[in-house]
Amino acid sequence: MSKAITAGTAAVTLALLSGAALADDMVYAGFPVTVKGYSGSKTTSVSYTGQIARHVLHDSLKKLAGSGNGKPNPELKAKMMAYFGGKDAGREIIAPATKGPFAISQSAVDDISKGKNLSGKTFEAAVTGMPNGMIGPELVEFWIDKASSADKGFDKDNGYDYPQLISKYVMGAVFYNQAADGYLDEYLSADKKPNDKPYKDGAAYTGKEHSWDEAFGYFGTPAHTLKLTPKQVYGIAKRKSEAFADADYNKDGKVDLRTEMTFGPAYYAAGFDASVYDRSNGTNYLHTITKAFLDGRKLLTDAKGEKLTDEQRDRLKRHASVITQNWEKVLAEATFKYAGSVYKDMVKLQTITESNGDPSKQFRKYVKHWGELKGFALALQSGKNNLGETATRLNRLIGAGPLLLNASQVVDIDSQGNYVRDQGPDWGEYMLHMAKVQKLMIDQFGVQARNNDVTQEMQDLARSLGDRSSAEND
Amino acid sequence: MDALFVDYVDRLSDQLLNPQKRVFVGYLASALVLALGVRVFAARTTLLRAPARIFSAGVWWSRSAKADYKIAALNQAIMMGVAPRLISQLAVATLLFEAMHVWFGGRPLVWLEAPGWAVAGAFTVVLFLLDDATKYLLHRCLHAWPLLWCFHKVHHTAETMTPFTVYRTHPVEAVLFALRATLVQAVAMAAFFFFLGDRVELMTVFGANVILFVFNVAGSNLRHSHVWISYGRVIEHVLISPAQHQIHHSVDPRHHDRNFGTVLAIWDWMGRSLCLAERGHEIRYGVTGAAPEPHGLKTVYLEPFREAVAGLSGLRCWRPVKMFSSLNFRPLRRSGIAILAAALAIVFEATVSGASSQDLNIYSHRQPFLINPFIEAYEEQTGVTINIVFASKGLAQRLQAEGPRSPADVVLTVDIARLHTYADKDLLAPVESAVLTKNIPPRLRDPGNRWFAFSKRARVIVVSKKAEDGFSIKSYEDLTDPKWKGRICARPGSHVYNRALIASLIESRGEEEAQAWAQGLFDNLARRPQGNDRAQVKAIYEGVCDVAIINNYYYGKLKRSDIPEQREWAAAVRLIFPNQDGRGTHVNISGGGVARHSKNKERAVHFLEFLTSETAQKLYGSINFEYPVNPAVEPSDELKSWGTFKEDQMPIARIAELAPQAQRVIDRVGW
Repeated sequence: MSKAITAGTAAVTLALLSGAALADDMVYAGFPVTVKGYSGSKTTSVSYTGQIARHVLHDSLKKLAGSGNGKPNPELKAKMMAYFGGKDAGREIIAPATKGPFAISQSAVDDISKGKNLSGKTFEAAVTGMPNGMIGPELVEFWIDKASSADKGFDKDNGYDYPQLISKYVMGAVFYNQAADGYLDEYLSADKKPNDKPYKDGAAYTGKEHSWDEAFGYFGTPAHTLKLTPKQVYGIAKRKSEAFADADYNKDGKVDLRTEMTFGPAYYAAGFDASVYDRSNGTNYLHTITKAFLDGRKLLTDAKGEKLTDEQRDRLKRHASVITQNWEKVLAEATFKYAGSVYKDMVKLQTITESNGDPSKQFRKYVKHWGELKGFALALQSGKNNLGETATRLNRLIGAGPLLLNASQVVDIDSQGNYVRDQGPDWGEYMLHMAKVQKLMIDQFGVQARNNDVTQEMQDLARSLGDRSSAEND
Repeated sequence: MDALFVDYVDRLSDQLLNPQKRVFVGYLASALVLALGVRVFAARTTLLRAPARIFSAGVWWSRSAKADYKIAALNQAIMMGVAPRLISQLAVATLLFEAMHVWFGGRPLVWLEAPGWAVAGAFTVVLFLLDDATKYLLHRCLHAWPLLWCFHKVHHTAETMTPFTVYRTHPVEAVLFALRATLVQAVAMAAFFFFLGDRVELMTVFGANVILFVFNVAGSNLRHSHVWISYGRVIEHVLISPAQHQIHHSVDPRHHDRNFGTVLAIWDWMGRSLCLAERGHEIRYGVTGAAPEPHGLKTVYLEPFREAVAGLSGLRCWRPVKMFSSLNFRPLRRSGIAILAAALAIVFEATVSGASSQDLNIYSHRQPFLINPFIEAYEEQTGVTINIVFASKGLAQRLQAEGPRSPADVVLTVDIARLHTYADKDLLAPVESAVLTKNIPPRLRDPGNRWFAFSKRARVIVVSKKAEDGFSIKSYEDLTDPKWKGRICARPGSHVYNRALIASLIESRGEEEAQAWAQGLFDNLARRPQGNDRAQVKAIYEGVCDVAIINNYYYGKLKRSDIPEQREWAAAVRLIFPNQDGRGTHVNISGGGVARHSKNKERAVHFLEFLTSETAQKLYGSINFEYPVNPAVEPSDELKSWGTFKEDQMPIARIAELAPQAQRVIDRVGW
């Protein structure tokens, strides 16, 4: 018995040691300083704390957006603006915060990075999916204003859930846009932030290294993601007790938000992978994106502070392309999923109203899911490519607001910021819009996980009926 | 290529190994057991001799049977190429499923309390019945229509029958059967899934439909055999016995066009094509007057095409039986030409871009058929070419996005709410025009001269002619009387027409009373608010309710409609101009303005002035039953025949100002 235990322990130890030996290759950390003539004290060139600070600002803003009491509240609005547009010191981290055994190291935004905001990094193109052609920061500020006077972020009359709208849109207009349209696109040109110069004077990282790190930071995944399953990475964002050990990679008893936490974009990538990991339509967004980041970073480290050759830049661009394409698909998967949620909510609402039941609880869910759908649909349009006709169709199908129980729908916003409503499409027609949104996501983005597929059961049923490839006769 | 071959072999072997297929080895085994039983117990053959009789080389290795095997193998390859190109049952089901959302106003789930097995059972039975009934119908058509018989005949040229004769099918017929299966499965899937949700599943045994499993285990393969099994007179009215199907293959003229059914005999019974099996009857299989080499592959695959072409040229196939009249392609040809013409017209309409700077460009929410007569009249009068961009929604956003680059000169729309949107977004240019000022009363134009009304529409009450107490309605306020409970139809309160009406009530009676009125009306509704104004009149005609509020021109459109049914709707109601003893009937407007960034403002103003001229003002009445805004112009004769009325003199701009307040009233009421 004793020998068996000893042998077992030895085997486990060996396995752990092997894992440790592989650890460096699988973790986005510890890349050495390659800047020529660097005279500082840093031993690693990896840095993306500004991006993590923005994730924290986003999470906190979402929390604040759901804290109104239904009456105009200038104080709340000012506080929300401090997290969206402010850069002042002293902002506490409202979310994510310690939850039971899931202890978090930082409690203030400044503990991560100082002087950061979201508005300065929000996509400044006109948002065609909402009335009045507001640009990104204007739209978020408009929603912040509305959220400050809404009851827990919920606008019953017009059908809006502001925390969801703000959060999902910011995931696209800040995180996805900054990475896909900036760091992984124009920053990869030969002249922009070259690799043979520090990012800025005295920095421990080259221009290209830091650009790449910043894109990684916006993805918001733990540095040790490749040592975890998508389910574990997903669990970390939920701050579940059992996820603490998965998150605390350096085993210091606390989760460091800078390197060990899962934030929005990675959370959704992990969520879709985890939802279909055992199915034929399984996806691998999280690890594919993370590995491409890691491979790109290794390429940069291997360049040893020299200017990148065209061949090296081409390889780096291929990694970037893998990242942006998969990231875009994650946003399309989310749009697909919530279109399905909205559809299913509408079926339930119809059942409730036709039996003269109280639809208020289901209506609340419907509005929440619609907010997620709209937010992600707008986020999807925040990439480097103009989606053109796809965007037009998507925006027309979803509309500026959900179809409400009294058959009205927001169609415009007047010059005073008031919503203008009109009779919307028929209930069945709007349900059909959701099905068409799902089809659009399949046709244009090739989504695979397809959570909440409106016609999934019918597809299964069709399979059970067999094929027609034989010619039989009676 | 190798993969293709492997796939082919897989599919071929699948026929024997898959319980969803007719010749699955298990079904063949059960058929053998039954055949042995018949030989031993009915034909008094010994158990040792029975197999030799069943597997006689004269049957299983005849020229006919060998052709069956070759056809089965060839068809498998052909269908591998053809089947993926046919529309799938899922594609058709999805189309139907989507359309049903519109037909049924959403997705009303039914039978929610039913257990899963009951739903699955119902689906399995309905699918089976639909499948079996349509097989009967198609099979009957294959015999009845000469063109189809040319292809189906291939199956009937079998002179000896084995279970593999089921595969003796011309590919054209196989495609027809595949399309039939597609349609049936799609209809069943879409309907069940739509109404019963994800509880729908097929009841299966080893993956096969449970009913067909029983049918196959019970010896379905003996249909194509020389083993005579009859179920007796009673059962053969319900189920097709192997003997009955063998009769179907008989060359005896008495048996022609009998027993088309697959599983159930009831279809033949109902269709008067049932033939019961007679005891000890000798049957010879095949077709009289068959081609000289009926089992040659060339004859099997090509001869039907030659005969079909010959048949179309006036020659006849071998054994046509008239069941339905022959196809007449003339109407199809006519409708084809019509469709082509319509498509060309649409393409032509769509190519209005490329306008010159001297043209006048109009962004219109008004439908082309309503605005075109004005355009034609103006073009004739001035020689100016007018280009129109029409859209039911989104033009304000478009104008906003285009900014100073916009080619728009004039904006035309309906309802003050929508006109106000353009003004509110600063998309209209102020206009100074003595003509407009003279022709349009002050209350019907913007105080800032950005928008102008060109026609008026009254929000009237329509009452069923059957409702005798309808005469008592004198005002909008009367509709809140509890005696109308469950008797009023309305479109949603948030629609601009209703919101404007509520704004007029707020203006005249204050917000509190307006809300009480909206609540009273809402409480009296017969159904959930839905549809457009036209749909409310239809609802009265159908007896859903007795009263509705509509814009007056809908009444005119229905009354003068080309569709007889719509004229009946209009005939079912009478018109009431409310509040004649008080403030008057609420009116709204259609109107327009000059686009802020118009490059041709002078011409644009001239066009607006034209719209207030006598010529144009009369057109509003004659085309769309709207009232002129120009006091010097009389309403059309049709409008005058409905009676004159006093209109609410509230400034139209005030409706726009009160719209947010009116919306809050609607929200509080939940209308």
